Parts: sequence; structure tokens; C-alpha cells
Amino acid sequence: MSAPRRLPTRVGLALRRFRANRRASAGLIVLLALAVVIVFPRLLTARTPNDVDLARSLTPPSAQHWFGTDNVGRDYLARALEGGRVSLAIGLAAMGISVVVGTVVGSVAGYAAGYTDEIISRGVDFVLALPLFYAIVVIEMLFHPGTSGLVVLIGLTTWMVVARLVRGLVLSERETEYVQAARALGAHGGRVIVRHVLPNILGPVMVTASFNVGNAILLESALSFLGVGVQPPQATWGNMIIGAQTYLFNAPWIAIVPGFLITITVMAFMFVGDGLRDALDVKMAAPR
Amino acid sequence: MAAYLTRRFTHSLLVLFGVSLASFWILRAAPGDPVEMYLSEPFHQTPPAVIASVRHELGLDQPTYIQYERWLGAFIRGDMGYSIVNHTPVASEVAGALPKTFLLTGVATAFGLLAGILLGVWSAVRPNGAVDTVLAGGAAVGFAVPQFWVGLVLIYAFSYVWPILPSSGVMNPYALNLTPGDLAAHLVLPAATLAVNEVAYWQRYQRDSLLRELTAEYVRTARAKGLRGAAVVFRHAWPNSLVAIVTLLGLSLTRLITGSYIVETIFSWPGMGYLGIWAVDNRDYPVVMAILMVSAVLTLAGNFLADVLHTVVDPRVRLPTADAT
Repeated sequence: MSAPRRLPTRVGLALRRFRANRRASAGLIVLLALAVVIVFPRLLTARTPNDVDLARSLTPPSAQHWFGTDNVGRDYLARALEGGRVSLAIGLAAMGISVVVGTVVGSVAGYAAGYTDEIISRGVDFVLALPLFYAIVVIEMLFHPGTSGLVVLIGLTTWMVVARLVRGLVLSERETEYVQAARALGAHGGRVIVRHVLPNILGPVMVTASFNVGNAILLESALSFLGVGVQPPQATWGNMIIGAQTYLFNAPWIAIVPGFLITITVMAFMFVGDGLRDALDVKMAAPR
Repeated sequence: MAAYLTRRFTHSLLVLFGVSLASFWILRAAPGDPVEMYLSEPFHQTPPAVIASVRHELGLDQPTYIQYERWLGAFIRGDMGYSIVNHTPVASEVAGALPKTFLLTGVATAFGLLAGILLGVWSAVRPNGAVDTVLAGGAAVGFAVPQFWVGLVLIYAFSYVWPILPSSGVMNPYALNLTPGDLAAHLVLPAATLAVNEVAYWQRYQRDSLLRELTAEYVRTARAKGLRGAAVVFRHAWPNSLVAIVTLLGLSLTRLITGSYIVETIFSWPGMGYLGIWAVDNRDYPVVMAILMVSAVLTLAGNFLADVLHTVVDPRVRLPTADAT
């Protein structure tokens, strides 16, 4: 008799479902490829992102400069790779902040319930009523908090969706028997949340996190385009387009390249998020 | 109902108070001196006595809490103060900008809503069919594409390669009066830029909400009784699917005002977003305060409208009473 075949695990099933989803797989492949080339830019170009060569300003894409050059002759491919590194890092870091803050706030509200929940929920409503995009512009323009400040600002304006989601999930989990059992054994609130509840609600949080990376990248690019995000010469996909309007008519690639890269990347994160949602069988609307 | 409205109104007032308090202190804490913007000549050429008198005139020599008290008192009485840079009443600046933003975003939302509903229904009729697949891809692009990039591409295409549309402002600079035709021509590109995202948004919600209805029992019953597909979709399922859409329409009021900073900047469209960016760039704090407050009021109004609309279109939903929170 042959050995009994192992039953697929929950993770194994989810992986299989994810792989069967063509859009999600394509998204993941795009993100992995992007990660490789932005971490190892020398695979594609030997040029550096900040070397000015005025003799070669605004040369169209060619074999030498795949993406052409910008107004001061910097190689646009090297800048696109460098910009991608920064934009992705900002997107991921801001997502990290929003997920951590949202999870902490949401799980405290959901687990404590009652008045604590009421107060926290009203607080979340308050933040949601703020004109956040304009508030970021104001703070960025007046205080110039730098790149890390920008990450914190983006993270602090996108955690509310996570908080609402986690609150709802924790609120329903706390009535389940395993939570009751853990509490009966004397585990305190923090331990129950971290060790027992959070692992069970990881799926929906991961899905939201994936969408949030895309949104954070879009937000960074919009702010940088307005000139209030990451400051040049440090390239990001957003601030590469700042000058693009000036050169739009004689050098359209300056606008086209970063915009195209942003679109592809944000779409990839959306597809991965959709794929995760279906694979993990999470019942939720796409938070957009 | 009255209890609900009272509670809601009180809550909104508290939120507005919080917004004003936070905004005021952030603006006062910012480096840079509004007096510098008030004066027409460079700071260092101005005698200190003049600077001091201007500072006194603007009330900037007072402690922040007194300045706030003054501002709040005036705001409650409907006086938003004067623009530091233009020396005009802030209320008239806002009154000039607000209709332009509403026109721009209203047209974009209306178009996005119509196109989105059409495309959403089209893709929901045969889920995962060829049409649905293509449209879903289009919606994904619509969500992912940066707004400013769409604007630049449209300018490149329709103001340069095929120059048929103007790319900035609300009217021809050489025209004497603003004519409706001129305004409409200037409206096309910025509205189209805003609409890209709107179409994707409404298309997705219409598709999802119609699909939810199409799997409901009453639809199966209607089909079992021999009703044709089109009648089922349009007479039975579609009207119900609009409930979700109408509710979301209230929330889109927020986007109507806050969603157009980028587009107004690219197209030099003199609305709230353009005014807002200009004001913070010039340290025109009274104008910045007014824009923050107007945005917050409209956001709250939008949320409220969404709740009320929900009860209007769906009789099963009742506004929460005072005892049930």
C-alpha cells in the first residue's frame, strides 16, 4: 500500500487558487521583475541616475538611452530605476505604517468594545472627515518634513480603512469559542489579540495592505508632481514628471515613461490584492 | 428622526471645531511670515515700524489662542477675513472658485456616472465573458493611472498633436466675455481627465451591485416564470442595483470638492483646488483656513447626504434612533 496522500493545507489551497488566477500571477511576476531591476539597476544600464550631461539633453529614446534623457541629459532609464526604488520603498513603508496603526487602533476598538470602541470609532470618523489630501499639501509646503516625513504623512492618512476593517473582524472574532477559551485560561487582552485573533484575520489585512501600497504610490506621485513630495535631484516616479509639462511637446517620453511605470505597478498591486482576496476566500469589497 | 438629526448635527459641529482648531495651530506653527506676503516691497527694505504696525493690524502680534478666538468669532458670523496677498474678502475668493470646481467635477461625475452605469450593466450581463474581461481591464487601468498623467497625455494629444482643444484656463485670454461655447471647450480636457477615474469607479460598483441582484431569489423566480433576460435585467434587477449607486453618490460629493487639486493645477482651472494650492504657496493663511473649513463642511454634508439617500431609496433602511447607536 502506498503512503496516504497528504491533504492540502489551507495555505497550499490558497497558493493553488492564487496561481490559477492569471491576472494575479501576472501582477506578482511584474512586481518580482520590477524588484529585481530596481535593486540591481546595473542589469539594465551602466549609467547613474544623477550624472548631468548638458550636451545630451532631451535626446529621444535610442539604443544608448533606452528611455532617452531628460532636460539636463541624465539617463532616463537610470532615473526611472532609481525613482522606482524610492517610490516603491515609500509605498511599502507608508503601507507598513498604515497597517500597523490601523491594526492596533482597530483591534483595541474591536476587542474592548463598548465605550472604548465608541470613542475610537468617532475618532476614526473625525479623521475621515478631514480634507486629508489638502492637509498633506499644506504640511508638506509649510514644514518640508523630508522623505521620511512624507512616508509618515501618507501612512497616517491611510490607516482608517484598515482600522475599520480590523475593528469589524475583531468584534466578531471575540465572540468565538477559541477566544473565550483563551480568556478563560487567563490570557490578557493583548496576548489574545496578538497570539490568537490577529493570525485569524491576517487574510483581509493582507488584501487591504496590497491595495494600500498602490494607493500610497499614487499619492506620493501626485504630491511629488505638485512639487511638495520628494525633492529633486532625488528621483521618484512622481517628481520625474514635474518638469514634464514644460517639455511635453518636444520630449513626450519624459511624461510617458514614469506615468506608464506607475500605472503598471499600481495595477500589479491591485491584481495581487484581488488574487489574494479570492485565494484566501475573504468576503470583502475592494477598498477603493 | 429629529433626535437623529440633532445628534448628527452636534457631531458635525464638533468635527468642524476640531478641524478648525487643528488647522489654525498648524498654520500658526509654520515657519514663514504672512506679513512678508502682505507687503508689496521686499521684507528687508521695509522699516521695522511699518512691519510692526502691519502685524498689529492683522492681529498677528496677539497670542495664538486670541487670534483663534477672533477668527472663530468672525467665522461664526460668516466673515472669513481678508486674503493677505490679494487684500480681497476671502468669501468672495471662495465664492468665485467654488462654482468652477462644482462645474468641473459635476460634469466629470455626471459623465462618469452615465458611462460607468452603461459599461457596468454591459459587463454584468455576461460575467467573465469577453466584454466583461475587456471592461474589467479598462477599469483596472482607470484606477491605477495617475490623474496628472492622464491630463498630460490629453494635453499632448488634443492641444499639440491634434490641436483642437485649449489646455488651460476657463476662457480664451483674448476674448472679451466668457461665452458658454468657450467655457465648454476649456472644460473638455480637465473634465475628461477627472472622468477617467470616475468611469472606472462607477463601472465597478454598477457591475458588482447588478451581479448581486442577478443572483437573488426574485430574479430566479422571474426567470422561472418565463420572463426574458432583458426584462429581468432592466425591469427587476437593475432598479434594485441602483440603491448601492445612489448611496455612493452622496459620498462622491467629497470627491467633487477635494478630488480636483491635481487637475485644476495642470489645467490652470481657477477652482477651489487651484486656489488652495496657490494660497498655501503664498502663505495666505485666511484663504487656506477657509478652504480647509469649506472642504470639511462639504465632506460632512456628503456623508450625511449618503445616509439620507440610503433611507430614501431603500425603505428597509431606517435612520438610527437616538437610543440605538
